[in-house]
Amino acid sequence: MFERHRWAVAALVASMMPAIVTAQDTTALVRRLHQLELLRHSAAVAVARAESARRERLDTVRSGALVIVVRPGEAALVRQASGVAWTRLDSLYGDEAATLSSTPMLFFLLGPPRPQVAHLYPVIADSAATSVDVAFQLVRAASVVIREKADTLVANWTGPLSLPEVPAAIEHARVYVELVTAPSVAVRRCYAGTADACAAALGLGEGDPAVLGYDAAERRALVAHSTDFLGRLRPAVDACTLGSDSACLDVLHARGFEPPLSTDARQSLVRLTLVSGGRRALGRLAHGVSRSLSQRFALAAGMPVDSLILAWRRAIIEARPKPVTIAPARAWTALGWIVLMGLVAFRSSRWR
Amino acid sequence: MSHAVDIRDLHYRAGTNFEIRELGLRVPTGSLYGFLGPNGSGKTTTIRLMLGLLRPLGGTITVLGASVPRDIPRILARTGYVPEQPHLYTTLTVDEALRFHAVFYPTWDWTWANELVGHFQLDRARRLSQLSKGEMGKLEMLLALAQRPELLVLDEPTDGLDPVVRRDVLAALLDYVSQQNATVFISSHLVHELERICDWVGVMDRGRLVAELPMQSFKSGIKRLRVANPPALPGDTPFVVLAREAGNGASETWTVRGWQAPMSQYFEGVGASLREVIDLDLEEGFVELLRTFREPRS
Amino acid sequence: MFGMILFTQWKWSRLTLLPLVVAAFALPLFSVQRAGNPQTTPWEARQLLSSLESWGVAYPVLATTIALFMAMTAWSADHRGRHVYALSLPIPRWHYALQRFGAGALLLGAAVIALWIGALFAAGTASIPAGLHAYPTAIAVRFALALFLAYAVFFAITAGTTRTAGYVLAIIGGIIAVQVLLETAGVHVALIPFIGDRLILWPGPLEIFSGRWMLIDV
Repeated sequence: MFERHRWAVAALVASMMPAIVTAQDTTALVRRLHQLELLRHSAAVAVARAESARRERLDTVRSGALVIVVRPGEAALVRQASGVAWTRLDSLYGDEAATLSSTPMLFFLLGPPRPQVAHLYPVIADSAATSVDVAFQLVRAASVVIREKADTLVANWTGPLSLPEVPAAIEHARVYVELVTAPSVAVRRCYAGTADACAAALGLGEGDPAVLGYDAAERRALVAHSTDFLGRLRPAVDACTLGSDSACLDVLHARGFEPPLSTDARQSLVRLTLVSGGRRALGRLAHGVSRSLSQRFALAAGMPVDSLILAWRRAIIEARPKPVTIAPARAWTALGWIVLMGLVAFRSSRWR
Repeated sequence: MSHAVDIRDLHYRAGTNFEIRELGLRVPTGSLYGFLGPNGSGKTTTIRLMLGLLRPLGGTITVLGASVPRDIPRILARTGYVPEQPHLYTTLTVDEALRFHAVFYPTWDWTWANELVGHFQLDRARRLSQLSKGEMGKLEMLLALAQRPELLVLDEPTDGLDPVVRRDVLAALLDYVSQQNATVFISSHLVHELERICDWVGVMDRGRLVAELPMQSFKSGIKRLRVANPPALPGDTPFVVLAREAGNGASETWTVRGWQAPMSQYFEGVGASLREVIDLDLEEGFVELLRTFREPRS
Repeated sequence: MFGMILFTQWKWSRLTLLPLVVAAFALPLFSVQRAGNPQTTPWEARQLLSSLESWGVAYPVLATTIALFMAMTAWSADHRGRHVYALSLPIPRWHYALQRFGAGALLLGAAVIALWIGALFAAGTASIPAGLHAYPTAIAVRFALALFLAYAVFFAITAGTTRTAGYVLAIIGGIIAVQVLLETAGVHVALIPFIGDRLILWPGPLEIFSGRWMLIDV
């Protein structure tokens, strides 16, 4: 097969030779050479995979868009798990999950020597793994693959697009705590109900995030809180500490900083967007080179970004953790149980 | 005659091996009633039923005119109880035990309680768990007496006590009885002890009341007779023949109950002759009574 | 009469109750130790809440421990004497049991007060980040309800006869046996989780123990 592929490449090159020879434009020549190089690399990868699979005698399991190369003895386990995994991936990521078909994965259990197959995304499980464990690993690996396919703007903004491992109510409760405690003027205004402030707090605002998210005192505190400075920033840090806001901005721009709300908050917004926008939401969000994040979110959710953000804020507010205070109904119920248990004691046959 | 305790047709069962069936018992008011019986005969069970610590399956129990278990608090307020096993809170001191007990009895007499503490030589600061058996026995009696009860129920109160302590405890009891017209219900297997102080006796065996009569009648009523040429069958006798044992030659020894002197004429009527009448003490009478109860004469 | 019963209850329980009362006082203080530094930054608010949430488990555990201990000491002396003394006292029996219950409950009040004072002190001395609030009285009230409820349950069990305890164990064993049988027969009915939810979710008896036991919260 490799021989056949070599001839194919050679034939392709040969067919392009007249064009190369006749073209006098250097730029065009460079572009064509670059294309050829890409083709050659893809072909080499395909050949390597095929050769590896042939040598190892590996099976391929398909479920939806999942393509998993696996040792024959583990195929049954993976077949059972992949169905569950695909259902989950499809519900989480919609149409974007179909892109997994172009990224086959290699699954193997720990113990025997790893199959020698190159260029496949590895998925590893313990030798005692059940189908539920394997399904979990497949979903986790696929989530990483999907995230890597997203362009850098979204990827950098969301951080690792982790699986929703806790119910939404618990995730929202954590974000509520941030909304209440984060040291940011944007977060406080977001809590009060301003959509623009929420956008700034989430890092979606248009403008300088350091200005949108924090006031001067908070910027100074941000700089003071962090200690990992390069030596060259030392004078700016000192000036910032003494009250120079411009110095604080310089330090923050140079060092970088996180938006006021954490990745948990941002990912909760992503999940709400996927729910609102349907199957194509992730695709619209993850790929849109010319659009800003706000525009992508709006497109993905199928609604103006302000509406999306306010809906997100509403969900977070509603998820406020219940503090230790007791509602009167609960207190009376507890008292009722105390009385009932007491009566049970007094009516015991020993005491009647 | 009024009765401080009146039990009728009492029925109780514990497990499969022990049963009290159709028990009737009456304790005359003001009497010292000795409740005799071997170990395991049901004395303690009867006492617990009497005081409402156990529930019977049937029958009626009336104590001091009130019904058990309906009026138990009223009954117990007028009853002093000394159980077979010490039942007090052993982590308390003597003084604390007195104060704890006193609050439950409106008739509690502190003056007399303090007197008894001195008389029994009890250390008030001593914990009950550190008292000897004799001291604990004295304390139990003290608590029962100091509440000035109308009825004293004592379940083997001197069991395991040395003679000196036993004497002190019984002396205090008799002293109280002489002052008050209290009824005393005392159970024991120490027959000689009851013989000295009781004027009524009830004998229990295997869940049944074998006999209940005045002590004098019990003691005097059981005799051993040496009979020469006894009849093969006693026939209709004016007394109860409990047992017959063959003697030397043609004579027998009869154990009888309800004997009176004029009854010797019976033997003349059946052609036998009465050689000797032997008095039995309470213990011998008790043993004979139990023996005949367990091995009925055919 | 109640005074003497209270006295005996106190005498039997004081050696263990006192350390538990001290623990109740100290628990809120330990739980906010991360907030003791006035320089606590808002960035540490989440860590503070996480720490408080971890300590929060100690409140219902302490309530259960104190309640169990008090219920057992209420009856241990009577159990040793097979209840003969209590049953021979001239008061209605339910009245005696009620006084024992009340004496124990009164002593439990000391633990509640100690915890409340500790919570007030902890809330007053802690550096609470903006946006968070202290709930010293609320946590003391909840602790009190949990404590008395646990006490009532354990009191009922220890006041009962051995037969009663046998019935309770038989019911628990029966539920487990039914669950096993259903599973064996291939019938997937989550009986034990269902019963657990009925106990823990409102208006179940154990609902007061669930939730966030946090002196400082949002």
